[in-house]
Amino acid sequence: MVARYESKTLLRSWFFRIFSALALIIIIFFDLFGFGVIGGTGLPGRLIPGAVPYLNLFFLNIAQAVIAIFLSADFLGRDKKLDTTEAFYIRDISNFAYVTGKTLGILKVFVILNLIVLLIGAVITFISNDLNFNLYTFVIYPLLVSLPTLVFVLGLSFFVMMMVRNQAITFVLLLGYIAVSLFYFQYKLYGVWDFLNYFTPMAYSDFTGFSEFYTVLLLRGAYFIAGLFFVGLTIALLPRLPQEKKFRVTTYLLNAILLATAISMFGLYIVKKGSGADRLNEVRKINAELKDSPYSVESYDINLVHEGSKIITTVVMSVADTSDINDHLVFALNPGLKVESVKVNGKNVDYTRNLHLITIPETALEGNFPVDIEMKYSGNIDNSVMYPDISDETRSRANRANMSVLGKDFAYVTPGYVLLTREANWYPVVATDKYWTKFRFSDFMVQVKTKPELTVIAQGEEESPEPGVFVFDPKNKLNAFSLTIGNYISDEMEIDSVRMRVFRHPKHNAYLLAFDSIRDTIPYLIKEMKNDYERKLGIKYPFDKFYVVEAPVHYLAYMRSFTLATENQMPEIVYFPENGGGNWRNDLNIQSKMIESMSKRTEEELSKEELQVKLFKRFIGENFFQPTSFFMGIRIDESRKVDGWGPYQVFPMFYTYRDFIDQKGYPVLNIAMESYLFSRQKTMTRGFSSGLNSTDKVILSLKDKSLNELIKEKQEEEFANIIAAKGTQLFNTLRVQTGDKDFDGFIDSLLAANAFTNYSLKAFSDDISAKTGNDFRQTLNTWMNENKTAAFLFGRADVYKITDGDRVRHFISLPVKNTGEADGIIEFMVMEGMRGNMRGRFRSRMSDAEDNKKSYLIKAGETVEIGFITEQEPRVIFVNTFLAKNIPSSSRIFDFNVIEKEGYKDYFEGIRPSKKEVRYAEPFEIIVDNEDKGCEVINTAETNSIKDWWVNRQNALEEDMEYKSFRFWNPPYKWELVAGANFFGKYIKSAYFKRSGNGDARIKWSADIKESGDYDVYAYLPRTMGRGRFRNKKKKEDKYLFIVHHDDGDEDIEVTIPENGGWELLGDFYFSEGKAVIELSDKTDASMVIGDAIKLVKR
Amino acid sequence: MEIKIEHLEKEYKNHFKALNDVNLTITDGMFGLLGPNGAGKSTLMRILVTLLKPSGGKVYVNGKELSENRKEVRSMLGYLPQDFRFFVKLKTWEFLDYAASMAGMTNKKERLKAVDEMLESVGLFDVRNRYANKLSGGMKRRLGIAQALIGDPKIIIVDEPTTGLDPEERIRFRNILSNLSQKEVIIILSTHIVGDISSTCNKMALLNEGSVHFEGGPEEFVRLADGHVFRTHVLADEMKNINERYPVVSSVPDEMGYEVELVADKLDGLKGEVITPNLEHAYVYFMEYMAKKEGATV
Repeated sequence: MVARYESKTLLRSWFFRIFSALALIIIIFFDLFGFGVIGGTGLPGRLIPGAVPYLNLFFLNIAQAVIAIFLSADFLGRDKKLDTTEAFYIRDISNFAYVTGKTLGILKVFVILNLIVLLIGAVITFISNDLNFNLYTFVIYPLLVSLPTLVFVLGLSFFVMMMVRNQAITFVLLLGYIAVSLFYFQYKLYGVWDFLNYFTPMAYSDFTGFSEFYTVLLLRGAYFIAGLFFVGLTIALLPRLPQEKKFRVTTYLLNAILLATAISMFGLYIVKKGSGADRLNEVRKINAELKDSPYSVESYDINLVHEGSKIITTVVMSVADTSDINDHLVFALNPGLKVESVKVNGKNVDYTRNLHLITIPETALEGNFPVDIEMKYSGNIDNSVMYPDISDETRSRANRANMSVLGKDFAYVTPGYVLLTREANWYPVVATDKYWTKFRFSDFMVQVKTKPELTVIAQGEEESPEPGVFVFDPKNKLNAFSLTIGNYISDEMEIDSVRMRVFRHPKHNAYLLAFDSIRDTIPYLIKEMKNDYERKLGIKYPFDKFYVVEAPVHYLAYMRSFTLATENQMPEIVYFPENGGGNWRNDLNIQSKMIESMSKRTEEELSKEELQVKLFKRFIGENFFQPTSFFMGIRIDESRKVDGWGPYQVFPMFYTYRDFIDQKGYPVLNIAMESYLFSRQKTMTRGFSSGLNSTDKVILSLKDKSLNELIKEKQEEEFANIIAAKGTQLFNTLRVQTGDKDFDGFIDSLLAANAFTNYSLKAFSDDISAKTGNDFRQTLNTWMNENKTAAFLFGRADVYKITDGDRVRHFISLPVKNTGEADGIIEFMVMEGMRGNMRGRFRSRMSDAEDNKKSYLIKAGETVEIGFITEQEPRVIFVNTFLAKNIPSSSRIFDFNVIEKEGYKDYFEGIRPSKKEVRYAEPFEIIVDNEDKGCEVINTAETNSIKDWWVNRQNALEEDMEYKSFRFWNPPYKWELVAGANFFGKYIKSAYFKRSGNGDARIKWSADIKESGDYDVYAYLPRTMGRGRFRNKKKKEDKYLFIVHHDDGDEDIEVTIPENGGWELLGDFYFSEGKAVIELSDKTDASMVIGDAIKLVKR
Repeated sequence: MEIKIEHLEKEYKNHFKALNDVNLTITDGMFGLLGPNGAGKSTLMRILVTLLKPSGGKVYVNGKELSENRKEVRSMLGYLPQDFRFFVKLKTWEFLDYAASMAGMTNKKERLKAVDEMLESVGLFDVRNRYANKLSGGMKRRLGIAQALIGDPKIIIVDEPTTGLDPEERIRFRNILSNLSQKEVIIILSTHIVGDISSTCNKMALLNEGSVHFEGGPEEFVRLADGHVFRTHVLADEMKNINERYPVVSSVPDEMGYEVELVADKLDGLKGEVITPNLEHAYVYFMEYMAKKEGATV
């Protein structure tokens, strides 16, 4: 009864009505647009199974937690006043019945709200054509998401209200608690603080259901019980004399039980998660002590039986000794798998097991190698010790597909699903030093037995002698073997004698629907894309089959620093997340709508087939061939550090799973080779962002250190990019040494000849040395230990019209000087033709330009002239200086000195020594750049507002970086350095920038005047991105204020910011010997000030 | 029915002693609890309705100790708190229905019937579908008494029920109470308005500074003031003097000055006639003269 009237009152409360109406309206809109029912947009995670109830309740849960806080505080607040309560308190009703009644009343109302939301969700699911209705998810989500949070929040707010007896303070406390849990606690202590279910993985997979279901249940259950405890506490502390004599005893006993239960559940959760963390740390420790092992496994003969949540395995390995040293033999095997016996040549031997390591003493190994080692083991995979090289911080972060929180499962052995990749260590590998970075090749022969209704997917030629039994026999040696067992159906085709299959869950047919009109065309499309990719890479696809296998959404593979391959790619197989894994680029329905609206804008008529072809190319290209990475709509540099970038690309099949350069310790050369090959298929970054790319960041972090020094002092994650950049530099140097085309072909043939074998560093060095004529070991040594770099100065590019027979062509001459201490290489790419329709034809022009790509080696101290001949007038030269002093390393030259002289004969293509002087400053010029000693910045004690603090916080990632990103939308309150192609500089093109101020903050350039006299004073005003949009709207022209301190006094000079940037004359002034000081004030009508360089030219 | 209060004490946390050795016996009928503000009336009532715990002494209801038998006592109680003005967002009948269910009426049919009857008897049937918080002050008070009466309580306790009501509502209210006192129930009415008691109660107690100063019938109480109430005429300029010397119960201006009713032990040097005291006179006499004598109880 109490419940009935409490819910009635609540339903009539305007606060509740407005709040829940608001929540419902938002949810309806969110559903309509978010799940792609209306319009061309959709939530990235909408296709994840069960996303509709999950995301709806995810939203509602936070909203209703806030509502509940307000209401429950209000409910007890009402009780406190002298109102109806006292008249009711004297009634024959126990405190227990009274409080539970009230609680149930409120709960009832929220249950109704939840049901409405679920109903909306169900309707949306049925309206939409690509969402699946799954009743189980509609039942489980409210129980798992809403209920525990509600009960906990209600209980807690009752209790707090009871204690502080002040509504306002209660609100503040509880809302504060919400904020703290969302912004501070987050994933701390394995996310145990997450009562709002904001960080707990709750997505649902059609293959495996929830991730870590029992752990999640434990946490959610703990909050539910804790909520009950707080309700119980409210009962105990209710300001009303209890009814029964035994009241105190019973309530306190009940509460003690609830509290104990809740605490032990929380505790169990932490212990469960924590024990994994302990094991992980132990594994890390043991791994750090590993020594180089002389053994290698030549072949595996694996017999695996899948039974329930267990695999029962017998492996016979043929182990070879690659040196004469006899040592004990150490294997690594996932510690979740219990070893039953180890036999060497058929004899049982004593072995020791320490977590993942199995040590067979040298005495047990008989002299004649190879020996046969048989190992029997069974069990499940311990997920928590996988990826020990990945930092705890990365590991603790939620795996989010936008709002949906996905699990972090690295391997599966469940009754209905098995997914075992190399990282799971489900078969033993030799635990040599840094074994997890070494992809050594072995022969495989694998037999698998499972339930007859399940499909088994693995590498190699396959055979199924009877239902549930599969035999895999790969033709070549492999350096990784993966096993998948599950409920799959497949589509297949054959292209270029490669057997291609897509394995998907029977329910997932979005792909079929999206490409229904072009089914016959698909093989041709794939063939075209495949050939294009192979041509760019110069390598043919080395396997007989290519499978794309849907994996559970919770399946996660981390990006590693030592390879571009992730555990999403295995030889012959790409694991692709079910339904696209919540990535909007894989949401075919939405993508198709986007293509459609785009074509409408360009008034392009697209037939259904054409549209599907476009969609197919985009989908396949983005995922498997050339993934791009976007951040806030801006395409960002592909990088080994970018999370989740390109985990499905096929590149690793062309190198990582085909070749391996075996080197002691960290596989530096292998990484370098991988990067070099990878860069071949990379199209040049087109959009120039103002920030620095990964190479520039490497230049900055290299400073005066060698690769070896950096490897010693830096974290693995940090130096991977450095190795990659240095690797590109190394191979480009070799390429230039041998001659362009030839070198690439040579490398390709070397790799092909050594495919599927462990290519030793010695053999590799000998092969390279033979080709280049230089001792590669020497080159490698320099590469590893050299800390000097090249530094390039560019002269003005002259363009001449030349006549070559009847044809009129263009000759460009570009003087370059290497002023650095080491030789360096430069890559040029010329784009020709007039600026036309940039948008439409850019791609094809770009590929023309690819053919104009040339690289040259310029020795230290040398000045050269680079010549190009083009058919049309040159438009822009892209320059890449790699790891030289120059920042940014890739820049553009558009400023050509067109010389209208007929009959110029001295043209050439290539490189020749030059006697021309390439100077940074002419003898009569004095330049003071922001990088020079003569430049200093004056910041004022401007107050740090909260906004500043917030802005700073958002840029916290850049805090320890010298050069920040250029934020024209939010400039800093004090001078900050920024680098980019648009700025002026000798080697580092950089400037200071700051938001406009009152004139107190300044940049001060001091020039050394050696000779008194009249000087023209110039200031370099860089062209800035987005200036047009972000400048002051009232005035057409923004001005900067310079102050020139000359002999006759100080002069304020206002300069209009020019459209394209460049040197602007401030005027001529007399300076006597000594210091000439020019200042730039931060006072301007523009939103920010950029200070770069000044130049004094003697008259 | 009988309520027996023995040596009841209540000391609040701030050491204010609200009740001091209160002894009372209350039997069927209407019992008036009179006393000035702060005399401890509300404290006493709140102890009787199990909202407060006494610091000492015992209360027996039909021979059963109160704090040991709260459940049983609560099942017999009906209570109208002093400041009963806040209503939740429920309709009049719903509110009463809620109260009825709290009073243990579980059968829905019977309960709804009882609710309707109750609404009829307090004259709220016409507004049964109006929200309770939209009722006028008097209606709210009537709804308050209705919720106290629903479920046939054996003990009805009303705390200051008539404060702030207009005369018409006040009479109406008294009538509801007097009708009830015909039944075999105890009605305890606390008030500082003498008129409430004189018109309804057959028994009363006077509480002052936490102690019972009088217990008995109203007539008995009135008789205490016999010979101490005077009517006299005073001139306008004497009025101030009179006001200082005697507690004046009423003063009506006439041509000569004022006709004044006052209480006094003796009338010194003033001419005046002795009149028959009423309850109000007795209350004033008691508060001004008898209560000031240390430990005065009758």
